[in-house]
Amino acid sequence: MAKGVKRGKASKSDGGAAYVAEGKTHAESVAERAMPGWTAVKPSGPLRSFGASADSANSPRGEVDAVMPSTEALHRKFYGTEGADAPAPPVPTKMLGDKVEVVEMKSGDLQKSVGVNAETEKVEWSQG
Amino acid sequence: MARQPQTSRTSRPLYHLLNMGRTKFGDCILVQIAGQTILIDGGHPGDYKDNAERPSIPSQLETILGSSAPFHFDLLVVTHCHQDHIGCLPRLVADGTITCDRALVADEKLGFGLDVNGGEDARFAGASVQTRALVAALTEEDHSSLRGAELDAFLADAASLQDNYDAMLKTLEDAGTHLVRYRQGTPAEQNEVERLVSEFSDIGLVIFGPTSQQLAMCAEVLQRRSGDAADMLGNVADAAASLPELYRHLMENSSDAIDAIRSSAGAAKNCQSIVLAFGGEGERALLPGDMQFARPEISGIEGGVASLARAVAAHGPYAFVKMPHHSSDNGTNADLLASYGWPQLLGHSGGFNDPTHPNPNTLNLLKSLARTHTFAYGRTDRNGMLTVDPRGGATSGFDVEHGRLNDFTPNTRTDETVVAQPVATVEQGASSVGNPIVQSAAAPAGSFVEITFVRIPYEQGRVSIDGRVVEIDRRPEPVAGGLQARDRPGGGPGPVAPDRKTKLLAPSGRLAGGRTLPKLLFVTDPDRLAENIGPEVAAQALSLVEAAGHKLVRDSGANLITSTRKAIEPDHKGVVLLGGYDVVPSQRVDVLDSGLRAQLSADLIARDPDSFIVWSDDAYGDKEPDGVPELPVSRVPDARFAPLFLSMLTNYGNSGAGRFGLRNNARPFATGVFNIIPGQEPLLESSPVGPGQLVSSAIAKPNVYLMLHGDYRNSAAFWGEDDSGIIVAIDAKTLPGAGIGVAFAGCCWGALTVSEPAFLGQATPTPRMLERSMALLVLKAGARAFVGATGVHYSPGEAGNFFGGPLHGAFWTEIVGGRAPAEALFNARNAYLRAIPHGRTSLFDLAVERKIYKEFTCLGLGW
Repeated sequence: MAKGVKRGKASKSDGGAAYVAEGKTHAESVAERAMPGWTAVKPSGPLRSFGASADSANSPRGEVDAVMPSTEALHRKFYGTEGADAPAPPVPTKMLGDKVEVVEMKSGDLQKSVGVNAETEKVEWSQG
Repeated sequence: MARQPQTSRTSRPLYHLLNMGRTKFGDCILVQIAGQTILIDGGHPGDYKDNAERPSIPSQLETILGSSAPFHFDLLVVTHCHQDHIGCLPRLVADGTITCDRALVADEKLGFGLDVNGGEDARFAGASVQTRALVAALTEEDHSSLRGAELDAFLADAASLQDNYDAMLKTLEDAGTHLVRYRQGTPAEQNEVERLVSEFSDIGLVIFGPTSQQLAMCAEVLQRRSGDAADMLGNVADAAASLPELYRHLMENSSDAIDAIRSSAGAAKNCQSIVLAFGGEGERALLPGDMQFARPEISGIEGGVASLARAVAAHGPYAFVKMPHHSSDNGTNADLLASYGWPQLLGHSGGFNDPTHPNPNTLNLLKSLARTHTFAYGRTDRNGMLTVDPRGGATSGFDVEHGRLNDFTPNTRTDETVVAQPVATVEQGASSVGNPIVQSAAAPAGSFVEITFVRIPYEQGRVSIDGRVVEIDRRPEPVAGGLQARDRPGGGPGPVAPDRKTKLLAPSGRLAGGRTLPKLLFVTDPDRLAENIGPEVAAQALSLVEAAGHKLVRDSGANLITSTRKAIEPDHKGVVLLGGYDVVPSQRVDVLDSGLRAQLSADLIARDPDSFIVWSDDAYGDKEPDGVPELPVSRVPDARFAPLFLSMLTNYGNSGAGRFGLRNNARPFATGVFNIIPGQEPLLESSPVGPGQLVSSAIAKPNVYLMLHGDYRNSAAFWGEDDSGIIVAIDAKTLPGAGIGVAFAGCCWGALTVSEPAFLGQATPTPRMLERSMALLVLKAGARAFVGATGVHYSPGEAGNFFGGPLHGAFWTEIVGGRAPAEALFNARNAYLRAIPHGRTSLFDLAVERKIYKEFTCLGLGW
């Protein structure tokens, strides 16, 4: 359950904005409101088809033909290693953006992950 | 007096795939469901008797049914007229071992290419007995590996199959069996089938097809190919050699024309298979005979087969599927398995002396799918008789005689008689130059003489035969003779002369319609390209590339990348790959470097359906190589369809003004992107716009932008959404036949021209057919390029300044600036790469942006 979100019947939060449907996290409720016809579901993992198992997220490295170089290496390709004006690539450290939760949504046979900003109560990004 | 069918004591539906022993191919399936007993197909002709590798079909039936012959069935089905499906039924019906109340059978006229009056092709009708026998064998599956008595039996059975089948149907009718011939041509014939279905409605019998049109088209192919074969083989078959010798010679040294006859006649019979389902929800079983759902290989029936596949899918999901066509890759692919609802039980029927069935490609596919899907794969060639309880699921649905389930290793050939290859000698001199047939004989005393036929490439060079090197000196005028002179339907010259190759092109056919192109480096594997689109068209395509002054890299497999890198010259502006992934391999690229993959949580990696692995062609333009290409790379996929391939190479392209745009209504950022393209046409939204509101002519614009949902399991449509969820926004039928200039699609897997996303991990994935790919259909409509993603796409919110947004905008800015599509994408990707992560601050965001950078690719000539 998302931190700070109470479960229960649909009820308006103190902030006056969020309705939290029973059994749903706040982010799931936000996503369902923003995406009519879609339902928040449990993540199914890569290749989200019927029968897909979620435990294969980390593909064995041997299964690929090439690995993309690091972002730093790519930036070096364009900016070089010399020159004081070379922009330093940002180094993210957090898993997800501030206040963003990933919610799995399903409609018909399609399933998509979306990034919900719990603070702004908006879908910040979506697959597709 | 009405006879009581023997019934199973069990209430569970059971499907028994009988042990097919050693002999290649073969289906014989006993269905026990709700007290009804149904037999589908009859294995091989020789399966009426026991042998060392398996009990006879009567013995196996006795084991299952718990009683001895005669065996009475509620329904007997013959799916199609191949020898390994009619099998020993004629004998078992004739001797009373098998009786039945009703029989649904492949029509004996359509199934053997006879017209309504029983007429044959005139050339075939007038052929000698030997020729007819040879032609009959050629229309069967490939049995060239057989030797001795096995081969003799196969040939004799093939020659007598039609007569024996006719006799079987007459015996059944005489015995009072309600016989339903599957023709579907008249209302009466259709009513007969419908009545049969209603009689078995309690066990959920569904007959999906094929349609009368498909049956007739296949019959026409059978008839024509029989005539072609008879015409071509006339002289050969009348020679002194025995029938087995001739058959083996033809199969092992076959020409393109023979190959064409074999493959199309075989496919024509397979695509006449009656496709059935039994059972209700949660226990539904699909028994598709040998239907070539993945690749029909018969021109003109692709749409019908696709419709049939859709009908099958709509009736799913299925708990059990018998793999069509003995697990051939023309029967199954990942899309189809997905459309069946990922059945947990997959069954293969066939003998074990068969290295190509199950097809190694299919086995690789299943092996990779087993990593992500739960299913059990049983094989009669490894597990003996399979008993399937569809309610049991992957864990307990199979009962096997021996071996382990999910054995994905191919068979090896186990021929009893291994014939030592004699040493070939080559007569070389003026009279033999250009004649591709060489014969020799050398055998130790006391053994029989083996004749070896050697096909030598018609080009300057050398050939090594059994350790001896043969120099080939090509002369200007080829001498045609022997079999080669009759080596194509209708007769004609033997070796193909260069001027003949250009005839397939329109007189004005030039690369890019004659437009001035920058200096490009083209890359292909000529042999594989020829396999996909035919040697003549392949040669023609390469000729026009070189005639336009471009360098062509010819190599194969992994060598193509290194050869291309070496061939890149400073003034090359781009690399163009000629052919699909099975011709010029694409790379499966992990877009997460090792550090990022280690840092990012497994849960978040799992949120990406591709696991952040995508197909990429970048390596071909990456001269240094450092993971970032120095040159734009585009790919002209062949889709195994020669006219499409040629049209993509020769289209002039539509580069005038005008735009068409369609976006999912949940993708407002796309409006800003679309506005970069000059024009008055509005960006349409889905909903409310769907295929019913779209006019093809409105889509036929120089610049087309699509920002919709896509799905790798069905790439013949893109989706929008309304308040009730996803809806089809645009589909294959809506696309125009011409007039599109450049298309850019921000749709998941929109540029995937193979069946498997990279994550599924097949090195040589199955190419998509034209009508099953929006990308290919856009290219067919004349587009110079279809630019899209090979994996799942990520859209930003309304602001649009991260994830896919900046790349889309940069691409259209480049196009408006006059860049060719391949170059526009190249520049846009470089600009995007420099700005990664576009102000985002998390590891997941960085991973997504790296994926966006890597997964966009340019299909079509691109210039």
